[in-house]
Amino acid sequence: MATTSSEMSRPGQPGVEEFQRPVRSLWSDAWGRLRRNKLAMIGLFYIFFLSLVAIAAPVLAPHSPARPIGAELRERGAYRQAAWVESNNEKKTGLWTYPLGTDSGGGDVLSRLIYGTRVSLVVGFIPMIFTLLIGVTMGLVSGYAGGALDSWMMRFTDVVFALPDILFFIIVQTAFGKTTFGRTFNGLLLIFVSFSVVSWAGVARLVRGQVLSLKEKEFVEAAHAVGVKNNKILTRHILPNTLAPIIVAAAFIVPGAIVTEAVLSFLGIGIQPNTSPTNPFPTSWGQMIFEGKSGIDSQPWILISSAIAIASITIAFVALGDGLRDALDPRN
Amino acid sequence: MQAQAAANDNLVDIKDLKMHFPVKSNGLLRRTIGAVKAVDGLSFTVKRGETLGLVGESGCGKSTTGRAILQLHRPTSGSVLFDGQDLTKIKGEELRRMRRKVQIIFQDPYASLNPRMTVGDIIGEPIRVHKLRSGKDVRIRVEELLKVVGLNPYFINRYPHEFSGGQRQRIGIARALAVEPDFIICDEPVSALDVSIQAQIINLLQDLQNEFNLTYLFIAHNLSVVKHISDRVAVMYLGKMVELAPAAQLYVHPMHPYTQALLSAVPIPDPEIEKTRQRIILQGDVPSPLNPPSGCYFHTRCPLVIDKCRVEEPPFTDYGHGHFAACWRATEVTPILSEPIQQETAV
Repeated sequence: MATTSSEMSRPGQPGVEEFQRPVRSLWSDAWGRLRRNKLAMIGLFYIFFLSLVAIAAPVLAPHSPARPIGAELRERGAYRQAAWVESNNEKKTGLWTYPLGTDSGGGDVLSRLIYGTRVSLVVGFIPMIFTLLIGVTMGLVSGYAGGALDSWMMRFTDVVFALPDILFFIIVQTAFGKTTFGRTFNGLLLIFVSFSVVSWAGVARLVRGQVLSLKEKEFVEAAHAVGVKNNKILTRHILPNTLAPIIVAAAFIVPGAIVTEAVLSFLGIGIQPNTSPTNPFPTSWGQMIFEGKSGIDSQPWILISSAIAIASITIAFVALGDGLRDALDPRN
Repeated sequence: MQAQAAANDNLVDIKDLKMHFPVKSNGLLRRTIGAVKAVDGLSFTVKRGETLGLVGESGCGKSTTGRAILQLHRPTSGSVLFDGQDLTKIKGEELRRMRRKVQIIFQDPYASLNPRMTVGDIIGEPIRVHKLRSGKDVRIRVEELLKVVGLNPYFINRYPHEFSGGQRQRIGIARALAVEPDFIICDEPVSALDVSIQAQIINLLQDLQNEFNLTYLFIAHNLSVVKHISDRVAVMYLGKMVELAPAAQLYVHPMHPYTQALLSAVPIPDPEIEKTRQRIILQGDVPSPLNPPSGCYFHTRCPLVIDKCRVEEPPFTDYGHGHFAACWRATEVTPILSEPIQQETAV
């Protein structure tokens, strides 16, 4: 850096510092603004922290998330209280070996909570990617093509948009829940697919709106006038200018998907419990809420800990999404 | 090049160009319920090496004319002969190749540059699209172009939002020059700029014209700017051309009442004369191009209207010395000149 600046500076010439100013793209400007947003950064670090927890779950979890059998079950006891809770029943008194106590089957709540992070993150991110792929493609094509194709695609989008989500999930679960397809990844695949199928419509509308305004912009006309091909205009000129709202939308899709999984698991039609100790997705926070609800008098911490986990990850994503919105669109 | 120029004096020859935009009903059927006649039967030529000014009030179809020539909007009918080739008849790859020859400079320097691309990518794109250079040579050529338009080549990695309006307009000009065109449509290139910057850009355009032997179609609504830069000036009203004449002649001897009204609205930079300036105030608004008036389109606002104007459309007639006008009473507006007026030396 020092050598280039000494090469560039000519004594006595005004405005030399001008050339030494680092290049700022709109993206680096946005990152600078995001970094100054404390809440968004806390959210980002919390998500980053949870990602590490999810990856390192087998190392971090003190016990196997699976339910113990035989002697171990007797030793742990069902519905053992959280570590700081005294009970007149010695079998229920909290032990620091099981900080958040155990569930009805003697499973360690903290370990389940740690493994549950995996499901929540996977169930947040993977449907988000599918949703964006479908939604962005539909929006780009519909907005750019215009005319009759646009009309028909948007009417189809309206139909999808109008589907009652939960009812659709219940129908899909009832129809496919017991099939091989429905059992893949403990039923996660079915959740991914059904969530993506109903949630892309919002993204498609958003992107189409952006494309409609962008394709009339003079820089797109300039690209046409220069002889740039349509596919290049879409990918080089239009798509990069729609990314900001897409990123913001993505940050809000993730918590939506996480809550959806929790709701489905709470209704008993989410991920299917898997007792195999080697399964990477043995449990989810939604399932824990479902179980904790029935045992709320015996062991409240199953419900409390998983509810806090879901609430905090949702808040983290919403804070990040808000921060991204402010950072990417400084006019608002 | 010289021989070719002698053989064909007209670089662009436009015949009966029409650009009608269909108005569609809402709903799935999208029936056509009318048409906005943005450009309605234009015929004119642009001579090799000249600057043809195109003036008229907002919404009269000036910019649409430029875009129809470029085939950014495919014209409804008529022909655009460029160097003998009809641009309205070609498409696809052939049209993309022709885009090298005809370029455009836009009005709004804030909207005409992609905010997500660096200056190097913006100016380099046409070079890559037409494979004029490859690899590292693209960058060298972009730096060269930046110098040509008076920008520092160090700016190559900068983004458009880091520049002022005048600098951005220079980037837009560099992009148009990148393909080494013969003909550039300047679509109000200075309207969005400060007055001091306007002069710089106008001078740059004139220097480039001399250096690269360019032909301009200069679209503007500022009559003083057009007078300064143009060899000939065309006046449009409601999608039609009402007058076309050598610049000096048009400004001194306008033959169409609309041109007279336009010219009378130009302020004179001398307070004494300005006090006595007689303005012709036109009554009413411009009629809708969806439903233009019968006969002469200008008859609803014309101070000299006669019955004939309401029924019959006046032809675009040559009144000598390359002075065309479309008015039944043109000869009454201004007596026909016996001698052409010479262009006064540039300011």
